[in-house]
Amino acid sequence: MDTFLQQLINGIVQGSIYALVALGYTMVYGIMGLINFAHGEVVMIGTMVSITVLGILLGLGVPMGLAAVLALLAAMLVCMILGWSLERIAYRPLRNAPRLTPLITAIGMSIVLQNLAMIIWSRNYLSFPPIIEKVSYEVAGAHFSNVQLLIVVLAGLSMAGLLLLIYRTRLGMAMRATAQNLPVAQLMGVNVNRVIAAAFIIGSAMGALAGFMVGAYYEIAHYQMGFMLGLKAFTAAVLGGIGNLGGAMLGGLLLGIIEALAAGYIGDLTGGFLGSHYQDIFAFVVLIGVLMFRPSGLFGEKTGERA
Amino acid sequence: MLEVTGLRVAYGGIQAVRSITFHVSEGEMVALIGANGAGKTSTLKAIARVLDAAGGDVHFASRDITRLPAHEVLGSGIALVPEGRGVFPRLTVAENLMMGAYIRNDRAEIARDLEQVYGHFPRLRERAGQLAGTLSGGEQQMLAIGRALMGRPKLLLLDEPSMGLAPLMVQKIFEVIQAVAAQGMTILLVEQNARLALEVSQRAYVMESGGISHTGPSAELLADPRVRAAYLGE
Repeated sequence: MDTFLQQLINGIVQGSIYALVALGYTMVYGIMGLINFAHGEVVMIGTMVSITVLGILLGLGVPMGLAAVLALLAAMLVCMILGWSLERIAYRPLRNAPRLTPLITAIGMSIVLQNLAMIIWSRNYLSFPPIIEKVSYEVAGAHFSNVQLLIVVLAGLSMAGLLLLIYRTRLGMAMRATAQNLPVAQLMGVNVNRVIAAAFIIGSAMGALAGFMVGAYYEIAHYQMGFMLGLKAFTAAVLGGIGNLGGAMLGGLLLGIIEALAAGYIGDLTGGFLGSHYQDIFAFVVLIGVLMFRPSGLFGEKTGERA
Repeated sequence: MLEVTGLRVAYGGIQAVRSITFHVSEGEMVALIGANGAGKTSTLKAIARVLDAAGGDVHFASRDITRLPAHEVLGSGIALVPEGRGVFPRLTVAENLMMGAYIRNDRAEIARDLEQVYGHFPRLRERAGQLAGTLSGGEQQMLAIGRALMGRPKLLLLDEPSMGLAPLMVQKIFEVIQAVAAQGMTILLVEQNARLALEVSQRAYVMESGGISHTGPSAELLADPRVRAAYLGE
């Protein structure tokens, strides 16, 4: 029971991060049918920028709390610009190309960004300074820290904010309309280029937040970290039904929990043959399972009906 | 008001519209009739800039709109009710109507126009909170027309408003189209139901394999034996 509760908590924390990243995939897919494989790298750059800015500010003697907030804002700004540039430079010229072309371009951009990050931040592991003094709480035998709590709360708030934006504002309505029928949205006077840019910018901002959280949680970063994180978040988006916002949130949470529970029990189940470091395979077992048995995901509708 | 000169539309190498010239004057209802594949829908799409013209030009209210970005067409005063309605299936009826007024900021006037649309189509008011994808075909057509009216266009392009609808529903829709026309709206109507189109319009152009084969006052075309034989099934 201790393992269950403990892994459930860990899964919710990791799942919140997956959910934030999955939203970036799903928003872009919903509007333009593109899987932006460079999104994981945007998240990684969010972590890297946070580390750099934290380093500079702490060096200048700025107090930790303020430095953390400024580093997060800087990471969001850089990632928003990066997301917008990706769309503008790499994907917009291919708007009318066959679907495979932008997909391959996305993989190419992912490689470009990884190498760019390697040049800027080196191929070493970087340490992310602890942003708050860690406090641990105990509930029914399971432990969780204030960092974990902060991650879940921040992720929840920003997702609530996103839902408000999408369902309660004019821009959100235009985004939903464009996702459902792009040519007709244009007839209504919607500048589709702006809507697509907004999807990239908003998704990248949430990606930067996720990148900051990953850094603060594991206190370590590496230029290749975006690859696996991106693949898992993509899996989460597919699990929830790609193109569906609520699906991405739930898919992320669910994937985090599945992974954590599997990691917690795999040793017992295999008599110690496989250890918890095999947890990565579960995300992909889930992906293969979804693609085989329910390719539209938990909340997805038939293809063609994207939201 | 609308001047189309030498308009050509091509898909790949295939010419769908071969240099057609026609006009619609202010306050008129003009019909564009013809068989399936004659180029009627392509013509409307090129005017609304959903499609790029391969040649020729389109002037509206003395302004060249041939190369206008698609999202500025409504602002120039032209609304297209597309073939197949094109409602946003997962927006509510009310949200669909608000999308029609997307480019406007005059809240009070928008509310007034919304009342007017609900006046034309009381069914839409009853279904305001429902997702548009759950409406019947006729109700979706009402919604598509109502949504176009919310943009306060000066010219309404209607593409096959009767398509796939029961006769009673067609009658209802056309009553509203005529009421809107009577209030002074300029309308370009594309219809496969040639008899209906000729009955409600003042003038008509007959399209045949991408060109205009006949034109004249609708009443004359309705009496023309050639038109009757080819398009009215007599």
